[in-house]
Amino acid sequence: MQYFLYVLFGVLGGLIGGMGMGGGTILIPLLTIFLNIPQLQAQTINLISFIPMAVVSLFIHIKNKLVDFTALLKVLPFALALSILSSFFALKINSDVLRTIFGVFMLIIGSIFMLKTIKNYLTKYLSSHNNNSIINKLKIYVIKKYN
Amino acid sequence: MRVEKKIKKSNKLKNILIAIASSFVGMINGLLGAGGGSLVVPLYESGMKLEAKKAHATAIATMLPICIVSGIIYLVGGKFDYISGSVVTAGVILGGVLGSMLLKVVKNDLLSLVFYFLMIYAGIKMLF
Repeated sequence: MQYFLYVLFGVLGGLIGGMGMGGGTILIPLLTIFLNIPQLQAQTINLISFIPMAVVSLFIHIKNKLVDFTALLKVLPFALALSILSSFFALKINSDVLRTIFGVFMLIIGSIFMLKTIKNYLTKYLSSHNNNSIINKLKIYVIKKYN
Repeated sequence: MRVEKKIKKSNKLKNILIAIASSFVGMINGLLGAGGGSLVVPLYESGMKLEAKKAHATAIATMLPICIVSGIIYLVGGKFDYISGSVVTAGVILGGVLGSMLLKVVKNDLLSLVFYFLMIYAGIKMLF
């Protein structure tokens, strides 16, 4: 039964990640909250499960010439160096602290993405309707103000 | 001449900002084992003006080596339960393949909103 749940939640988390919505950011809490998997174990699972799919899609992307290597070379060295340092740091710190940091990060990212989606929706909605009514003028005002 | 100097200077500043943002991406992904992708896509898209498709492809090229290296460090240094770990990992890979096939069928704004709401909820839950 336990293993059935492991596979089920794994599939669920992978499904969301594969659809490009938040990825591991939703898989990890799914594993820690519902299956009581330790934080670091959940993080390891997320990192490793990303690898096979990334290899396949990267192969296709390189073939289609979609990878910008100039931009990649500007970003990768710094990102790689800091990720090595912070991986060792993650092993050292208390699991509860790690969980809290993760929670804060998720709260921030979730809110930003949510506002972005709402903004995109409103922009799409506005461009497909006429802009003469008072309600639409109000919406334009709101979007301009919070853009 | 002066304008050229100014452009050079602003390019230098931009490169420094990109380096700082890249370091932040690496720091978050190494520490939390997730989240790097959702940060590096906007960096490529808004910060370095790549078009959306290229930004996503280049993001995968960035995240792959980082995840491999962090994954190895976690596996070697941490206490990983290989039996349950491989079962969940197999599930995630299966779900990931299914998800990428479903992507075109069901992705819409409302569904995204539900997921972001879940993310905020889970974030609050993890704090307490």
